[in-house]
Amino acid sequence: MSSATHQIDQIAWLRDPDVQRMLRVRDDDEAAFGELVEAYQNRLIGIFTHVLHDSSAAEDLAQEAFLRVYRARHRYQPTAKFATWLFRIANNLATNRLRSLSRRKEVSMKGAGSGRQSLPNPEQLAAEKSALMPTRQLDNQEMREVVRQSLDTLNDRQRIALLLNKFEHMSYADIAASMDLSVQAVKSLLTRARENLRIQLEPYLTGSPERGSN
Amino acid sequence: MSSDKEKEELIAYLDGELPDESASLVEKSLVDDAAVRSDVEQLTKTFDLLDLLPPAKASDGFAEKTLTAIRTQQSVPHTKVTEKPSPVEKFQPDVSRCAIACGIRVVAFLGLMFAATAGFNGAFKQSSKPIDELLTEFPVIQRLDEYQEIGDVEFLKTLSESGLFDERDKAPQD
Repeated sequence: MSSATHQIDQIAWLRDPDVQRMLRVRDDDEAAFGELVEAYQNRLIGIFTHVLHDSSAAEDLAQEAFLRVYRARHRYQPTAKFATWLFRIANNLATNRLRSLSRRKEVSMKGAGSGRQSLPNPEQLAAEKSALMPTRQLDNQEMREVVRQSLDTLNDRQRIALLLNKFEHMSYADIAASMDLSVQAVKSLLTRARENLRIQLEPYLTGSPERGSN
Repeated sequence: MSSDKEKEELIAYLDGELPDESASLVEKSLVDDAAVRSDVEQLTKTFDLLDLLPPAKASDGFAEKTLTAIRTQQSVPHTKVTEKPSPVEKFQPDVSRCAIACGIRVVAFLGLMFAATAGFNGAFKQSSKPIDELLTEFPVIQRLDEYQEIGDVEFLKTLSESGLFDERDKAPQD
């Protein structure tokens, strides 16, 4: 990156109001830190909840993320949007926690696969549902559960990338910075995630087991 | 069905991540190919279904708990909580670490003693913020040993009224 480009980027980042808050935190402004916590707590907890399926663990991790931000405040340099930096910390925490949970699962479930969960056969499920209900449409609560389960069929990186893309509206570049990946890697990750999601959820869109044409 | 590369371009197009030239090519294929249009519709609808996931909300007092945790960390002396220990920190003698650990244990013990004394004097309270209380009472906890040797306030009053210290102040002994 040329020096001029870098300077232009820095000016852009400095315009980020959260970067400005973080610079106040760097100067030990506790009120500014409180503002950042208020602004990001629900967003962080949301991502962690969808990744871990445990709201208590999600709050623990969110608090740890904020603590890490605070501890690093004196070394803070605005080289990206604040959200990108925060979610990079969040991604590290989530990845470590998932790895630790996966190890525990492998130990307690010897011989069982530690791969992704799979949904029940959507064709069968759709048929069962249509038999039980007057219409083929599932209500919101059931659909919510179906969506949650389909998200679980993604691997950890696909899920995190998708959540950042969907709920944080992050660009591919920002997701790449948060997940320590290349932009192309993020593009591939999101393609697989979206395609997997489409395969899992498409029968629930139409209410029939028909698939899209090849 | 589109190839992997075509799907990648399609999804990047939906996310607004394609440069203009590539976006134009995708738009052309949308016009010309019904299968591509069908893919786009399904990808968009399934992506939108994620909006059904319930939004998360922090529990009451989460921000306050977080700030309290930070203040607690700051009140522990000589504790540096950095993600990357500096080379100097790595060579700090173990003695200082033991001193920190012992200091924390002493503070905790004194805190317990203080709580027991407060209960005896009818000051027993259940606090929902024990850490905040300890922080507030820390100056007293620090000198609790000395205060305990004194005994009680009545004894101090008696000493003061006895004039014993007045004589000493007036006529210091050699």
